[in-house]
Amino acid sequence: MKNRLKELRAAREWSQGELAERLAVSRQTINAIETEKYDPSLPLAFKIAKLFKCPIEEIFTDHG
Amino acid sequence: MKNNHELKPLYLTLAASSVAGYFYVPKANWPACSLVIAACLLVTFLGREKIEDERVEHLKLKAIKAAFAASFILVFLYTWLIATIRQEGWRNQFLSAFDLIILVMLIALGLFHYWRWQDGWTGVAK
Repeated sequence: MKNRLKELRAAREWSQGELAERLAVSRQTINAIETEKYDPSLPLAFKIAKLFKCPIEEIFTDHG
Repeated sequence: MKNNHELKPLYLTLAASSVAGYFYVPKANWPACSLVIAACLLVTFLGREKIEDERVEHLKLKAIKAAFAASFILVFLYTWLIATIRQEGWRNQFLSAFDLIILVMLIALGLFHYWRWQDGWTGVAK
């Protein structure tokens, strides 16, 4: 699943560590999501959407 | 299982000490040592990480699944090898349950930390 997490994070000038702290996850998890190695769970995806004030569909898109 | 991640080096040191004790203490026996090693590795793997998030849980589950599969193959090959060696002294060298736990935990810990390292390494943190 593709995502715009890196783009949204960069727009706010947050580091991966800062974003991880805001979402209560580790920096490695943020990196794994940004590099599309890992798709977050629904609760985490909603948390991300709420943090960036975007609908989930604008952040995460299916490959197909 | 709640466990302070800062105690993990202590558990690993205890496991290493058991290994060293087996080789250097004259009356040490492997069943007792393997029990201590297995317990330490189990607590290390099942204990909480510094930040216990969903990715950690996902990787631990993936690691233990792969470790069980790999261990089954290794133990099968080892057992087959032992069964075919007909020399005296080798016939009773089958693995105990603690030996199996040690093998599974070593593989699982290795895989988990390798995948965790990969998570943090690819891509540059800003």
